[in-house]
Amino acid sequence: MHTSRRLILALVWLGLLALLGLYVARSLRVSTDLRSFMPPPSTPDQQLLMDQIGNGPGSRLLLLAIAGADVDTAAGLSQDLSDALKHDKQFTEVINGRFDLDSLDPKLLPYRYLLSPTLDRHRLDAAYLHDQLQQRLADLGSPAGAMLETWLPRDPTLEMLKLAQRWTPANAPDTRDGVWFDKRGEALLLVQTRAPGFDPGAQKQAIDAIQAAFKALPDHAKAHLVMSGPGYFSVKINARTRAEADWFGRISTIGFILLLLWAYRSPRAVLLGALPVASGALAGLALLMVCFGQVHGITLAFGFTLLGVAQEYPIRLLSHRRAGADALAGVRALWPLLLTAIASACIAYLAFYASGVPGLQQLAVFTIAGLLVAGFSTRYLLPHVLPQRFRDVADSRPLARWRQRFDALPRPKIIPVLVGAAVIGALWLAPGPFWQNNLAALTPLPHKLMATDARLRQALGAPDVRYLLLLHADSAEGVLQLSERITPTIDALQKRGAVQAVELPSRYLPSARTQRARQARLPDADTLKHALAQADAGMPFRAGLFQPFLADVATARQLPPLTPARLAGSPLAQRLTAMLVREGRGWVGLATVSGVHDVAALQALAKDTGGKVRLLDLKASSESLIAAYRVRILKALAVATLLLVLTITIALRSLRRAWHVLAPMTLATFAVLAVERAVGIEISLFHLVALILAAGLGLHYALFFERQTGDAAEQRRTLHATLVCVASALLVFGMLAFSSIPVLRAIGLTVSLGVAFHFCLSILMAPHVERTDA
Amino acid sequence: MACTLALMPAWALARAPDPAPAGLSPQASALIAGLKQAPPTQTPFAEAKYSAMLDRALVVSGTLSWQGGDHLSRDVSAPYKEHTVIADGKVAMTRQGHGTRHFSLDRAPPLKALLDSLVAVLSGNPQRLQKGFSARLDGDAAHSWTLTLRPDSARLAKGLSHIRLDGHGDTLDCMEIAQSGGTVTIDLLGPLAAKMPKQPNRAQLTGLCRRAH
Repeated sequence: MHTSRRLILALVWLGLLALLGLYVARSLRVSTDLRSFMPPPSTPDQQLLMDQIGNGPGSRLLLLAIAGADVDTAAGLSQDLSDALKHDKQFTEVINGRFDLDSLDPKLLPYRYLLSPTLDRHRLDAAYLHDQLQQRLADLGSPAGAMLETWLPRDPTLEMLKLAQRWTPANAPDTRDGVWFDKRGEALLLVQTRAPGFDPGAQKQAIDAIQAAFKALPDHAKAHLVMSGPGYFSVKINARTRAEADWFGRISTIGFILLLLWAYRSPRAVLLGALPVASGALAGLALLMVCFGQVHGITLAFGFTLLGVAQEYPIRLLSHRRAGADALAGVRALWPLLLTAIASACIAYLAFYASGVPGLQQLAVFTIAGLLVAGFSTRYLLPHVLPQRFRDVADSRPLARWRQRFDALPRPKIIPVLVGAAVIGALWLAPGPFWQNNLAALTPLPHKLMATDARLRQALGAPDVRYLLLLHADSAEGVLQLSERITPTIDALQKRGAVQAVELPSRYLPSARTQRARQARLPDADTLKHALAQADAGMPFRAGLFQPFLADVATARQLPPLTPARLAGSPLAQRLTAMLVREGRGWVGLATVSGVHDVAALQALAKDTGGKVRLLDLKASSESLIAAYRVRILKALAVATLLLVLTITIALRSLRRAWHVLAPMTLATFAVLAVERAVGIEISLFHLVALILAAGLGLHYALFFERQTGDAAEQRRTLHATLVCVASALLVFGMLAFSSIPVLRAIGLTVSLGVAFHFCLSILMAPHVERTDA
Repeated sequence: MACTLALMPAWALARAPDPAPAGLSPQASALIAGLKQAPPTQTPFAEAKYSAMLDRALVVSGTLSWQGGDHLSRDVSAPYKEHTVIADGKVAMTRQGHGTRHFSLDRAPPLKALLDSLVAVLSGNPQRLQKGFSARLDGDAAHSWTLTLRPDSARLAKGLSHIRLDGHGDTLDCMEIAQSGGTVTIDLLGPLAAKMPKQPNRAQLTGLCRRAH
């Protein structure tokens, strides 16, 4: 082909890529919600778990401390920050300990007689009112008098105060200057975000908004803001992982390019050799946009890693070019093998699609599309644009020596047996559990962050993120009644120290039944007026002072019971929506639990209530969910393995040859597992993904080493191509193995080990070269 | 050099560790310093409260004690028993037969202001007295005097109108706390407490405080 035609074709290809790139850049929407990498929930309980992981009250909570300032300044900052955040739609709740009766909706005030437990024990009769008025008189004469004066005419029995106390968080911190403080003199705030806790993108916005609001305060320079909470952690981890991955990515890309330049001595070839993978990546992204509308950040990161396999196709093409023959002839000879490799890799990634996990399905679509496009463009486009002049790698003397050395290696038939035995032994004796079910272990928090979280959580009495008490009933009303029924039991457990605090929904809203019972005990207007006159006799209260009280009681007698729907829009409703959730056909109440000391005692509640009240251990449930989902992936992988064996056997048309390809690949995969287990690494999903990636690479090595061309020069080219592939894989993943982030380390270590084992075993287990040219 | 020396006194004055409070004359500061008492100390009190909610004054009596620092207690012995402790910014109020009520001093700004001014007087500390208040002294130390404190901050002024301390020589006789809502509390202290009438009117009490010596 003429040089000019090559140039035109290359330009057309680049143009197409540019167009595709433009489309992707325009439509690319990256999501960060980690739940798309969680298994799809199949039971209502799992659904609840998933909702709670992202949306539960605990996971949306951010703990703030204003540190480093004196009490006056910190209190002022706390107040100003809380005022600023209360106007921000991103936050559903901001509390800093300020006691603020005036912030309650005045329309709801008469409801205090239905919400407060006073009427359960007393009636508003002359005796009770007399006692209360005497108390109020003493209150007026006490140092607390000024505090009560404004409320006295309307609320002589102090129901608002009782409700405010009831609604204050159970283990609230001390207040100084009207706001919460811890023992170190830091002002404390609790902020609940509207965004789910495990959506780092949305959480980052919320956290940035808090920081911006703090920076905007005039006194901010005198103090600094300390933050904690699940959302803050996910943002931190995300940023750290990304920064490290970017850094490793940049270094290894440079190394990779240098390696290719050294291997092929032609910048043009290296540049053009990048086109198939670039085409694959862009095509994969475009397909994701068409199919899913968005792509998860993790899919992108893993997808590009997995697509790295495709770089082998152009490498094989470049290494296998023969002096005198054109690239097209070379690729035709290689194609059956390449096609087998592409098909096998696609089969392996289909297993991810079968997992049913949205994030992994995206990953499968991206990788399979990418591999196909990269493979076919290597076959049908790349040969037409490669320069005609090149250096045949088979002429390299050092390479020839290496090839001879490799060929001279002893290949005892016992190797598979020995390696197999070692693998079984290592797996058998390996310490610790085999599987890592705790996803959090792969994204561990720096010790300092953990310590800050524990300290703030303790100081704020914030609920554990781990446990939730579930109350099941047919209706919201049923949940509230159930909540009232177990209140005495919970109180007893608290008194015994089994648990520090449980926030039951009925604490904020009694059931309609209870409200009606209290309503029925409210006296009518005349009776109350009469009782008040009797109670008031001889006291110095001004005549007619309690008119607002009489009016409120009269209103309360006519009110329909307060329901979550009627509360809508009030601060109380925010708290209740988090506690009352529709679940399938029924309703479930979610009570947050703090300071669990006796899990068994709480679990016993389930038995006593016939399963209507249960303790949900979010950690145990998510672990079992992950275990179940791994089983599903493993099953899909088993099917994929069968398909793979079938494909290879058919492609090679020989069981014996298939054995030479599959045996080293399988052994090497298990050898990696054995080594990782022997040094105490627990296997996670990330390790599994990495093992599959390594197996894909190993399959290439084995396929090409097994190939019998009867031509020593071609054998040298095979070695060259394989060495370039091994070196580049070790370069990229070897670097990741030194990452400080466990997820990256897991992938890096597994793939590097895998590449090394696959390479050694495919050489050692390849059939002896039958004929050699002198 | 001469120039530097000439500036020295002015500079030294500006940085003096105990400048005379701007609002109080040196005599007034001296008077307050003279009121200093060594904790623990206690005095009987009788208190009358006038409120728009009440037809007549509410009268209680008992003992006020100062344990030093910001630690005060107020024991009511008639017409009922009530014990209030103010310490570390927290108030604990125990009434016979009704348990203890706890609240933060911050929730009762007028009480906090009263505590601040009372402790300032008891510890003879004019600087503290002026923190957050404009102070004015009428009369003189030898005879009867009246110290009036008005809050500087609009926030405090919402709840508290003024505090007035009456005394003679180095003795504090009366405290008057006027809330912005119109409620006035008058405390007769020391020997004067015994002179509290059963149904006091304000003119009577003002008379008692002003003519105490």
